[in-house]
Amino acid sequence: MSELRNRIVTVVSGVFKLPPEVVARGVTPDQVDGWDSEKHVELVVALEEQFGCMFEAEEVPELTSLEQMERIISHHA
Amino acid sequence: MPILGFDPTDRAVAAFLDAHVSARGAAHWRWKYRPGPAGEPAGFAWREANGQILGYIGLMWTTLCTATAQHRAAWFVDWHVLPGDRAVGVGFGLLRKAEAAAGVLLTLQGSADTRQILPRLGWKEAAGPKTFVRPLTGRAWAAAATRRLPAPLRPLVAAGAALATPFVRATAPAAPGGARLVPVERFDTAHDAVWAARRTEFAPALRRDSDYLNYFCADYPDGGYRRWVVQQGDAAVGHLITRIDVDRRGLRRGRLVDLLWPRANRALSAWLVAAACRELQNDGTDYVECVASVGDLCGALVAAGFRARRPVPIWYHRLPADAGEPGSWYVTLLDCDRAYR
Repeated sequence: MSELRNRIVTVVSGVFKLPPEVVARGVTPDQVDGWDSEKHVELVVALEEQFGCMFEAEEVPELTSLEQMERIISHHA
Repeated sequence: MPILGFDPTDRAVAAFLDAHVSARGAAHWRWKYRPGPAGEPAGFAWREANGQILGYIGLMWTTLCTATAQHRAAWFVDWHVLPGDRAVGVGFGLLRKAEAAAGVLLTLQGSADTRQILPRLGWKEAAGPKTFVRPLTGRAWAAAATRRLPAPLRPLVAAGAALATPFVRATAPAAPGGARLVPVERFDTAHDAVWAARRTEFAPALRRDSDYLNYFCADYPDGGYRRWVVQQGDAAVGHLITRIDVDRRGLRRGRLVDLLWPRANRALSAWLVAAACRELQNDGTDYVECVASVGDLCGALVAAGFRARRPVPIWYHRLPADAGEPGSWYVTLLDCDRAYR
């Protein structure tokens, strides 16, 4: 697992209170209880703080899987 | 790109708003969502590749006038997203688009969801503006009084309400300095000079030029507004706007939508409030509401028999340094009437 993916897993794990090894297997809103709009705000804000970036409006709803997060965050790096 | 600027001719967006926000109809949405001063879109819709609208956020453009500058600003309204996993984050995305477009972005107290989410995104709530109410008939007085009474006493109070009418009616005030109200169908562009003269006196305040006043208070499809220019001698020095509708209890509600006068003239503000109440009383209203935030208008309302009721919180995002916070602005129902928000 790349360092970037590791950091993403740590953030997602903290937001959803899930063990990192569970998150690392992959998460999407339909797999995680409580991943609603409000929790998504918390996730996006946490990712922005962790990676020091600000996502575009169109990117915000796309941050719904580890792959998408990695792709979008790489784009901001 | 799934986020599109609102096009008033787009039937899919109008249908989304009718189905999920309020069944006001296409004419209402065309009125409500006029582009900003530089042609900025009056809202954003999230449209999937198959054409389905997943969410919408509307913008009502205005200008924040401070003592030294004018700032582009907008109210966000009708923020709605369809439920479902696919829509997670769409509302946040739309809000972020609106924040980027508007500069200064404001909203009134919204749903419970909104109040949960906005603070996490750095939004703050300004207290300050309050709704003031004054009964003008015994019926309205009884309606207010009986809410606090035990049920068995309510019919007695209601039966005696007519007796109270002489004590709550607005009296005709003496006009200071020959002031008078001149009714107008619309504010013509000459009224812009009045706003230009008053703007620094009332700053910070949102715009009150003829175009803006006519948009809200003459072109509003559901009507109900009356408009006056305040004159002293031959000179126009301010304005008064009222609106009448019927509330959920069946009472005729009058509203002091906006008042503008030479700010230093306290006698004129007291007269203007009283004259407005008299006009609304003559139109058969049961009670009058006004939203006010600043000391002189609040004082004039209390002196005229109004009582402060509920607060009208205004939420804000980023503000320019010279703007203070919205609780200190000159705010009236023109700025925060839920009827068109």
